[in-house]
Amino acid sequence: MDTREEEFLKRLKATFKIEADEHVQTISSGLLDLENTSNPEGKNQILETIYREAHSLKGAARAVNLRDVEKICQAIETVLSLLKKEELQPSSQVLDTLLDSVEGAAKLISTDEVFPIGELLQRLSDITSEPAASTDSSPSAPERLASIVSNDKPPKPDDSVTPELSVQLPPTSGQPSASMGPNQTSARTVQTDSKRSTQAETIRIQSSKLDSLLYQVEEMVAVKMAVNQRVSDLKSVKLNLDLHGKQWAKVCPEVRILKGIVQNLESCGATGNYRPQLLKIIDFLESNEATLKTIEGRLKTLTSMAENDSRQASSMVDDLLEDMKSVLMLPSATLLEMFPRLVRDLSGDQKKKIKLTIDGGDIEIDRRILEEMKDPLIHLVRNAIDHGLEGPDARSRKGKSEEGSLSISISQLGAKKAEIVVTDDGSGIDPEKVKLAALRRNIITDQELRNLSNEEAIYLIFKSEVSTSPIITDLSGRGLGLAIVREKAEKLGGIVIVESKVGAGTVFRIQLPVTLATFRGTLAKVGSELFVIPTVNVIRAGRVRRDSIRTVENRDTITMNGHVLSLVRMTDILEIEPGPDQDEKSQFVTIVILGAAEQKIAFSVDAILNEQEVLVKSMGRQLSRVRNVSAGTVLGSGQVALILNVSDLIRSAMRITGESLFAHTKKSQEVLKRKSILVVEDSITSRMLLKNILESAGYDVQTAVDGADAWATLKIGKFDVVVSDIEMPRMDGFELTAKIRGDETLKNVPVVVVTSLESREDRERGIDIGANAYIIKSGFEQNNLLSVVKRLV
Amino acid sequence: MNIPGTNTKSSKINQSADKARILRDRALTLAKRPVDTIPEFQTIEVLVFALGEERYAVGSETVREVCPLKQITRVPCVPPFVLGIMNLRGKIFSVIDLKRLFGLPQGKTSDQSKVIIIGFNDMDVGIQVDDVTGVKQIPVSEIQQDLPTLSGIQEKYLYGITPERLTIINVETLLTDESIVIQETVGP
Repeated sequence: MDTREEEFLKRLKATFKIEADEHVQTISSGLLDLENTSNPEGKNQILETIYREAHSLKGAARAVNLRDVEKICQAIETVLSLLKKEELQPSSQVLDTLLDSVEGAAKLISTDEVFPIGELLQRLSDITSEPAASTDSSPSAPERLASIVSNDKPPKPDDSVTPELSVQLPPTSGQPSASMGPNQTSARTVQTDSKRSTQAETIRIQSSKLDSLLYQVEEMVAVKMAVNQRVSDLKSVKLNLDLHGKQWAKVCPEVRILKGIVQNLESCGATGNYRPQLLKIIDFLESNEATLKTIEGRLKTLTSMAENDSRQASSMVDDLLEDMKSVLMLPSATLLEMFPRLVRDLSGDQKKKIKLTIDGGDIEIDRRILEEMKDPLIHLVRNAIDHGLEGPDARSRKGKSEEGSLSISISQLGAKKAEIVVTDDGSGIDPEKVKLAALRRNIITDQELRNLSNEEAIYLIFKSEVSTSPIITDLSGRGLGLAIVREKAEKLGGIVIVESKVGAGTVFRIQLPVTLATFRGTLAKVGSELFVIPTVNVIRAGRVRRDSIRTVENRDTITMNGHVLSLVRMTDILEIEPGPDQDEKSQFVTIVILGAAEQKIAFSVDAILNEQEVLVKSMGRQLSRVRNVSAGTVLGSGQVALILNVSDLIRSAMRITGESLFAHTKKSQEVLKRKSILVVEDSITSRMLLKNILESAGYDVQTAVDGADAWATLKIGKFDVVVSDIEMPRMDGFELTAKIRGDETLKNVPVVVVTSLESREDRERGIDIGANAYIIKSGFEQNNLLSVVKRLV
Repeated sequence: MNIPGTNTKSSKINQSADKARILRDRALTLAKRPVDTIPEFQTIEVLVFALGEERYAVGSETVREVCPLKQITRVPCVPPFVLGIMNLRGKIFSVIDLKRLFGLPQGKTSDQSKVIIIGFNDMDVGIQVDDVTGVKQIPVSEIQQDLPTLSGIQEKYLYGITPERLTIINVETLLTDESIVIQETVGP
């Protein structure tokens, strides 16, 4: 009984989440629209919509017993009703509070965790507490409002304020204004020109149902292939029969002659005794001819019927699949709708003025592609605001308008492709800085760099670990983001183009297929298995003469158009058994030259079979990320094949070829000189955790319980990196960092600050004091720490 | 059962009022629910299968599907307990080898071999088994939850064991264990 009830509540909550998401989205976008609408008519309309949505959300929240959400909605409603009556002006401070509250509600809904909502309610009630004052003051002046808020005026009872809320009105309503100074709010002038898409007649279907439908339709493709196979089987049977007929035609005269001889045989004598049997056989042979003719005829009709069926089935399945794919397409507005809010928040945090333009929300793209592109797009926008666009002062110094412009636009490129363009008019990417960063990370040699044009050099930003940012923070600077953007785009069969002019801005273009199926793959046999290589990455496929392979520095190489390329065996990279037919005697070796980013490497494979369309299929959560393999696909025969990840292959190949004799000696030297790390942390659990993580990664680790202990330890030993907590007794992390930077012998030791304090002030303080990296514990992840430490040693 | 009224010498009582009282008492006693016996019948439903010589089971609510062992495509660069991936009506599932995961002796696959797709939350995984015996109801009281002799990886994924040595696997801990999730990139 209770399990069924629980089950029901679970389902109810899931449904509620979907509904609530929609309400929250509508309220947020409505609030943002409100900020940019000047005519009173439009304002009222928007307010009406938001009010209704907040009300529905409140009701729904009550149904699933989310009291806190209900309370927040109640308070929001109160503020909105004041706005409607124009007893309160929609100043950006009011909107800020409302937006924060909606976000708070969304967080409560999505995470199931409970956190105190007192502060939000307080802020909301603060706004409602001075409507009387604002009615007689000049409208929409944030500064004025802020000063009014700090008045110790008792709340004026208003009939629209529900009794529930007036209870929560605090006696003093001063303190929140401190955190929302007028200068901060005035910097937030984000405008959105996003065009509202007209809503067509729709019904709501659970996406999981659609997905399962798509899987079934995709499976029909296998049925189609099977039917085709049967047709060709029939044809080959017919061919056999034809061959048989020809042979019969050859012996036919002989049979006739034989028949004449047998008929004329004497009925007595040695041979004559067998006459009836011989005649029987000859008759059978002759009747065989007739039977075969009938079979041939029937086979002919069958084949042509099967051919017809197959044609029909093919076109039906193809149409079905095509339609199914279009069902899964969504207007890209669903991806874009989050950006006005994101840009508004980020620009507020960074005190930058940004005008955001969004275009092309009506272009339809496969839902799964939209989902995959969400993170890359967020990253690009964040990058543009973080590193691209300058603050108002810097901009006016450069002679640009104070307000930076950022645009996200999606447009259709032909029938099957779309392009997402993120443009900013900020400072652009400096190729020299990129080159320097790449050189520092040993991604490129001096000589290679000299051959690189500036346009080519910019593409180095897509290499992981290349970052022009001077400090590593949780947000950016590690140089992984753009690498991920590129990987995601390429995984979907797309490409990323970057154009940048120093001082004038940057343009990122992501060109993508609009449906997932348009991925083209080259089918290759490696060992005894079939693999699909994305055709985008195949530069050339072919054969080379075995004797043209030369060994250079203990590596196999071939030449292509005068360039020397490393050659590695695909079986070695994939760690699988070489196939039986990879015999050394053959004169030729089949190779594919694969390229990702600027790297090119030749791989030897057993055979290249063909090129075909493949459908990317996830291998499931258990195989979240497998080395060298990006996904699976189902071939026409129903067989499952793996899609190879070319950038991984190249990286793996470089590791293998790097293990030549020369590199080996270098490696063993490295082992002798193990890097040592000092971990400073007062909590024993965290200390042990950090110690374990770092030790298992091969570092020598010593620990200290606080800053003072660490300082003493540092004086005796020699350390390559210090990893320190911030909040500690006796001496905190900031103080320790400052002391290290101030010391003559220690000042160059890198310091990584690990903290649970997630605030901009702290991060900035960390930067000012001279920490090299700042990692937040809440997002604490082993790989994160290790990669940061690795970069620093 | 001790029914009040049976101790009195009923044969000697002639008054109808007494009779009625006794009957009523009996009726009330008989109408009482046998409260204490309910927990003994609480059962869980499991799907029983064979791994080598041993018999294992998973809670039937975690079983998404049972299918014959079709062609499994091997995946390179994964630990040996991952057998590969298979296609089931257009969706790809990874298949894991519980024998390797549990450290059981390796046997040969037979034509009885099957794949059970088990799932918890968003994690669906196929497990290869040697045979599927069927669905069984097991009284909760019979399941012994601690087995001091088992240790390490086996114990972690164990829900309990029944007197007839049927080992019940805890699908939830198995599928939420991050160590079975392959999350590997090529190092720089």
